[in-house]
Amino acid sequence: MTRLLIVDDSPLMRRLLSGIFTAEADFEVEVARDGVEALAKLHSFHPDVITLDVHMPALDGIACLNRIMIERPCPVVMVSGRTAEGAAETMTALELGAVDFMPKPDGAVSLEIDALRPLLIDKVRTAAQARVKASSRLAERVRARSRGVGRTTRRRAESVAGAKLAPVAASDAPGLVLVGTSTGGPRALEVLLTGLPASFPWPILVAQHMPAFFTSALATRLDKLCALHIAELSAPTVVEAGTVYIARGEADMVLRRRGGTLVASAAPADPNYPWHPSADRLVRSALGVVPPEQLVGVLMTGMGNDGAAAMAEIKAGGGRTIAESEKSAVVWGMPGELVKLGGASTVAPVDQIAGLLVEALA
Amino acid sequence: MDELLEQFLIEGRDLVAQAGDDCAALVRNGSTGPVIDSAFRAVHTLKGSAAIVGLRPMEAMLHAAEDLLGTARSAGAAVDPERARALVACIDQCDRWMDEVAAAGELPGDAAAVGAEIGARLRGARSDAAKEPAPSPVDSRWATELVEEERAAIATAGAAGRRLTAIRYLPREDCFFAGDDPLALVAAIPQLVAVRVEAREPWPALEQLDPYRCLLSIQALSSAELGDVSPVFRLIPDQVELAAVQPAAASRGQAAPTAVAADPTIRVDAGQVDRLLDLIGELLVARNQFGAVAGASLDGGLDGELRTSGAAMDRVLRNMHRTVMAMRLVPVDRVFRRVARLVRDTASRLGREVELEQQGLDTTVDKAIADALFDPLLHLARNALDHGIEPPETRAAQGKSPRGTIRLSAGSVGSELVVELADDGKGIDPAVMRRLAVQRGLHGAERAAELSDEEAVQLVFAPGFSSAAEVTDLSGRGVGMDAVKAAVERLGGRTVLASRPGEGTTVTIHLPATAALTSVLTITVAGERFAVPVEAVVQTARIPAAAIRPVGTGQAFVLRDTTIPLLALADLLGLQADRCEGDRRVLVVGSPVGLVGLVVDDFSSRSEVILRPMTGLLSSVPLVSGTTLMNDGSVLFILNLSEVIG
Amino acid sequence: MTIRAEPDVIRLVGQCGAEDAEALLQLLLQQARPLDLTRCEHLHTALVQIIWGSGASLAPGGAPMLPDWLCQLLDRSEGPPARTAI
Repeated sequence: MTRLLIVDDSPLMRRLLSGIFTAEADFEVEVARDGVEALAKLHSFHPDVITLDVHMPALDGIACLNRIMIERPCPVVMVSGRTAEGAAETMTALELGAVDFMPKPDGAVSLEIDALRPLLIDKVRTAAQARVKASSRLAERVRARSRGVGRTTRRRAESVAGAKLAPVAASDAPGLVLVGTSTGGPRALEVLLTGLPASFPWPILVAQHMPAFFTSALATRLDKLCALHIAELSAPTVVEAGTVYIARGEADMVLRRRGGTLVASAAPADPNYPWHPSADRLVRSALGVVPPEQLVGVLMTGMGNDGAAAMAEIKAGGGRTIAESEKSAVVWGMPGELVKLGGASTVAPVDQIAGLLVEALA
Repeated sequence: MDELLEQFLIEGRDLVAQAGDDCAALVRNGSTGPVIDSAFRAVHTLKGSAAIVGLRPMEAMLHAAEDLLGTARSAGAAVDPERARALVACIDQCDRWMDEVAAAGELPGDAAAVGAEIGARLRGARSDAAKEPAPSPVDSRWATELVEEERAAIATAGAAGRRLTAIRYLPREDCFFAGDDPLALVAAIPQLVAVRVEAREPWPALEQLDPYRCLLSIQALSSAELGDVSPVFRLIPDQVELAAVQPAAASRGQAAPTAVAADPTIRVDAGQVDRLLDLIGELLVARNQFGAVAGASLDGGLDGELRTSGAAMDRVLRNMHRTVMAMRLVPVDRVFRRVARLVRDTASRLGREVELEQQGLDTTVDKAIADALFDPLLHLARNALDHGIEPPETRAAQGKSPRGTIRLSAGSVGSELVVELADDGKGIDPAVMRRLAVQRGLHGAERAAELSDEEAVQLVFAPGFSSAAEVTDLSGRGVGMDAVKAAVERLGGRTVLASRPGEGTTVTIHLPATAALTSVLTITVAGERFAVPVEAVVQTARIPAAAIRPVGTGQAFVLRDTTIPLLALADLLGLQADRCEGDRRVLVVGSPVGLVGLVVDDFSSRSEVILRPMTGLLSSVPLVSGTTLMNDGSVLFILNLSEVIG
Repeated sequence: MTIRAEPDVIRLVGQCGAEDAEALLQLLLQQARPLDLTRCEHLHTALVQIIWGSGASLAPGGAPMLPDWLCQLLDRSEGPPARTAI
């Protein structure tokens, strides 16, 4: 039995969510109407996982999350509005230790809810299993508070022990780094991208599973922290070194060659792929225009298997891939699948991936 | 009405009242701070709720209001009077719409246009000049011009002089990302007369073309009514303008429709409705099977399409199922009438004076449930008269009114139907029940003494217990309470009894609102699969071997401070099972003696199935309440857990 | 595949959605060819825009499964503005 605490000030929303989860045989559900009640239930109900609304009277979601992380750390899934403001708050929440988030059902939900249901259940189930790392929490919370210090807070890439990636010959034409991640991705991306210098030689393309709206907030936040320039990709763009392109949420990113240049553009989500932005679709489209030896695939924390099949093709074609190790991944689904397929050139904890990339491409 | 929609109407009224007060305060004195915070939260929640129940125009309008308040909130600024008045108009409109939704179940046809207008007022005055101002919806000159220019097309279509609907559709540049297909929407407009597609900018060369940016501006004419055209665009009210145009030449008087007010009902044989329901059931099963096959298909391309069409099929199927279920609904009135007649007859025969109160007569219930309810209610009414209501002189001596009261009521609570029969008679004496429990060997003296009053009273449900004559006389509850309970369980319901000595007894029957679809949990026992009704399962648990302790000759484990006896379901079913050593998977189920844990090999998540009653030889097997066809085509027995444990 | 490249024609078959836009664009960029829409059941707006941009002509047989007005709009060498009567 998974004990789930649903925190939302809207009775309708509480009813909708608790309806979805009580219908599952393995959930035990309680609800709280605001942050104060949530903290009381945190200690009496001992939830295994919490869904937390961002906007609430009395004690708002972010403040409540802060208290949860201090008083009784537990996996939290934020429920946030699809607005620019909601997205920014969600990014703050992820920094403060929330494992994942889901956008508030929007639009004709009575129709959509059946499509959403398995997704919501999956997210919460996955979150319930996620490890909330006690050790890193305090440091991350301090870091989240000292935002605005900007680029000076950049960490140095950890030196690499054990894991190795074959170096790229200097004569080779410049290629691309393709990154795929899902649950737990925003924090993993922060660790990876803050570890890379502004002079990193290859453009980086990132497929982070997220709804629309949220990727732009993610890019804005990461851009403040990193030496590299980080931007959400919205219009077709010639990719250049020194920039990290974050695929637009709920859409896909594809590559094509125009003359001598590589152009990345956002494409409407392809229904043939279950997750978006799709890492598989990004990698396949890159394989169509760039030889595999000039690609490095990085697959990090996330449930499911997106990216694994396509990245295995990179390795099979003579390219390089890195799978995040089970030790550091919040959910070892996608990287685990890559390892299982024999598609990982090397396996490394998230804080060593930047170092591996720098060594191989320097 | 949809359950969520009902809840929305309740919750929404409060939010509208809150937002209305706040917005009125904004108009009066241009407040900032807490008033804006409070208005923002109310509007935010209301918007979310409107989205949940699919009231798209309301959501879009409130979205504009939320943006406005959000901007003011983070800037710490006051809302200017013009925009504050637009806010009040917005909240008023929500209030009117909620009335309409309560009456008609949906928003009126012009909601998109009305909402867009208010939305434009909310947005129009906003300071960020980046957005081009929305064209004023009142200005429909474009529509008249369009009709003028397309006169030839109108004549060709034979629509000259007719009322037309003009459509101006400016798809958002990134509309493909939202899944929109503008030309497909145009194709969905009924009775199209003319279509014009224009480029919003010089058409780019192919190399420069961003294939995912929509560059079109579309105008169209239809000879259908505006109300028939607007549903096509219900998801994108912000990108489209509609106008009804009456060509000047139209001198022909439109004959008013002379509809004859006809009885909207037809009579259908109940058997035919049942047959239809059976067919839909088969269809549901076939659909599940189809889903399993589609899931097994490894072809990625095919899989996506299958999933999409499968989801569409599911929606239609669920709608069909709901509609047919609704056809089978009858008012509970017709069962109550029969019970009332019996109460009057019996009362006069026994010399009791009884007032019969009835409530919730218009509560509707599935015909199968209505029919099956009659016997249990009859039992309960008879018991109340026979053993509950005292003779008038006894009542008078106790200071009660000489006339007893029996209250029969029905109502819907959530997805449950609740039927209650209450009397103000002598009630059940827990002390007597404890004594009898010992006499009849149900409990030892010690355990009986430990029973709370409430638990003691529940003993009337123990099989055979209440049939003894002395119980009848002493307890005030008589024959067949176990039969009542069993009958209700057969309907997937449960019976709750509450009684106070001297004050009376209330029996409440909780029933699922629908009978035909049953939720089951699939389990594996001794390598065989069975299904158990989800209602019977209190919870599922994994119990480590170390947590299981021997108790007497059996085993037990502790679950949240309660010690629960553990039984092997395989043993109860007489199946050979391997002893397992590691964690046990356990179903915790209710029983007359409290919770019981049943060890199974495995359980999977629940599914909705059609329960088929047992027929022929098998119908005499009490352990099994029916069979069901599973997704993969196999037939599973549905276990009757209370029989299995008993 | 809903889009098939043949030496002298590009064939669009069945339900052609926005996800086919990339492929169609690449094919038309490689070599302008007439489009065979005789078995096309649905043509997404994104594909219509590309066809307009390419100036590709329709192969004989037209597009019998698409609405008439859409066929009229498609069968022209330059892009919009375009208008049609039903």
